Order: sequence, then structure tokens, then C-alpha cells
Amino acid sequence: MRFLLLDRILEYQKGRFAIGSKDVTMSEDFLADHFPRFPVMPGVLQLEAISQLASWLVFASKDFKVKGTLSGLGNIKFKDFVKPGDQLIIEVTFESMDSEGVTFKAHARVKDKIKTTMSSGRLSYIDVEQIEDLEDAKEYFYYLTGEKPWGGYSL
Amino acid sequence: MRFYLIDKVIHFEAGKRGVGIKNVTLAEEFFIKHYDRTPLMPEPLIIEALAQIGGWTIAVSTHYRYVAIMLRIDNVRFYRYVRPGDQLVLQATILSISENGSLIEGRAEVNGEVVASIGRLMYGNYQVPDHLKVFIKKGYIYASGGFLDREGNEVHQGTLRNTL
Repeated sequence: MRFLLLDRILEYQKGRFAIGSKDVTMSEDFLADHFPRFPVMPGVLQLEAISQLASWLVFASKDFKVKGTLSGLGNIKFKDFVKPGDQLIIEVTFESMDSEGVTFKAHARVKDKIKTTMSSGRLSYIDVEQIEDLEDAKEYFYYLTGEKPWGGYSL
Repeated sequence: MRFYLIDKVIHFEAGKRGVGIKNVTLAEEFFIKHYDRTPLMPEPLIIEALAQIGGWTIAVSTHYRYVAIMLRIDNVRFYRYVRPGDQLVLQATILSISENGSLIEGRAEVNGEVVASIGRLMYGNYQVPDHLKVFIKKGYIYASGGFLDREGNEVHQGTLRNTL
């Protein structure tokens, strides 16, 4: 399993908000154990998808220099199960950005039904060069947003 | 990726607390792409590991009557990164258990240093249909890492070798 929990970034505005999507499919590895004969997407992986989207928005907002790692979370509510076949739409809104990190809120929905809400999340900056190749990260970001084709291939 | 995030239960007090360990190895699948140059354990999986030991403690304390499903999480802090080679010691303390739900607080440590803490984690207790009970129970026994025998009874360290 590659730990990429976001398929697309549908819309974003630097320093303000981002909307992304994740399609949940029956062939995901984690559904085998979560739970036997009752496949639902684990809540924490929804949190990971939210933090990945927020991290990409940090990446775009800070001129492709830093990404974000979670340093705190608060007031998360899981309202309903997310099942295979659902398309999870994630919305992240930045509330404040400072020199250490960002504070944001987020929710995840399937169509119009809200599944998960988080009213305060906190990301700390981490230097992109320390964790990833900068060009690879940029290319992947543009692939997610659909702005440029991946690896120069036009599909 | 198996979604069992406890390797072994090392301490258990019915209705009070459970302590489990999780060894973090570079062979874990989630280290692919998280990240390319520096493998760091994804923070939400630490929450999941704590939630699993908490759910395990509740299930064993209530004799597998319910399955505990996460409903709310509040006040989570991550203090430092978890890297391959670390051994996470996960401690879940039960604040309350009732018919409707349960509340725990959790703390994850590496070498005695706190890496993450959860202020409050609330579970809903779901009744398990009879035909699924056997699978749920099997899962808890599997995740106990030998702490429970095949019938789901506690095994004391001295007798562990005989039952396996």
C-alpha cells in the first residue's frame, strides 16, 4: 500500500482553502481487517487524508518550500461510516498561518452527507528537501490538481 | 497492509487500563511514500494504535458483548516523530464504560518519552450480530499477541508457552 490517501485536488486557493477527493474501493488493503465482513474506511485514515490535503495546501501556499506534519488535533467527530464505492470529498480551510505552522478546520463528506468533522487541526512546517525530492513533490502536486501532466505524458 | 496496530498486550487490568506495544519497522507498507527520503510514522496511525488498545481493553473487560467504534477524538498532541526501530508503548486508561459508550485517554511513549497523547477518545458500543461475534472475538485474540488463549481467556506469562 502506498500511503497516498488523496486522488485529486479539485480546487484550491493559496493560504485559504482546498477541496480534494478520495475514492474508496473494495480492493483497499485496510478493508480486510477493518472490519472482517464489515468493510468501512478507518476514521484515522480520513484524518490522514485531511492532513495530506492540508499539507499540499501548505506546500502551495509557502512557495513550494515546506510541507506540514500533524502536531495537534482537536474536536473530531465521526458521524457516519464511509463505505467502499463512496467518493469522499474533503474540504480544508486555513484559519491562521504563522512562522511555526498553520491552524485549520476540515470536514469530509460523501455527496452532501457530512461524515467527519474536525474543528481544529494544527500542522507544523517541515522542509520538503528533508523528506522528499522537491521536483517529484511538485510534479505530483500538479498531477493532483490537473495543472500539468505527470512525467510529461498527456493522457 | 494489515490493519492491526498492536503487536502484543503487556499489561491489562479489567475495566481500568491496557498497555500494548507496537514495533515500528522499516518494512511497514505505510513507509512507502511517507516519506521518500525520511521514513516517519503517519501520526493518525498512532491514534489508531491507541484506539485499538483502548477498544481491546473495553472489549475484554465487557466479555466481547460490544464492538467499540470510534465516535469522537479530542485534544490530541504529537510531541515528536516516530521512526523505524522505535518501540511504541501504548497505554489506554479507561475513564468510563457504560451501556451506550466508553471514554478513554491514551498515551504513546518511546523509551519513556511521550510521543503522542489523546485527551479524550469516545467509543460507541455497537451490538454485534451473533453470526459475526466469532470473527470479532478472533480479531481481539489475534491482536492480543498471545495475551489471550484461543477461548479468549487471559494467559499469564508463565503459562504462555504451554498454550501455544
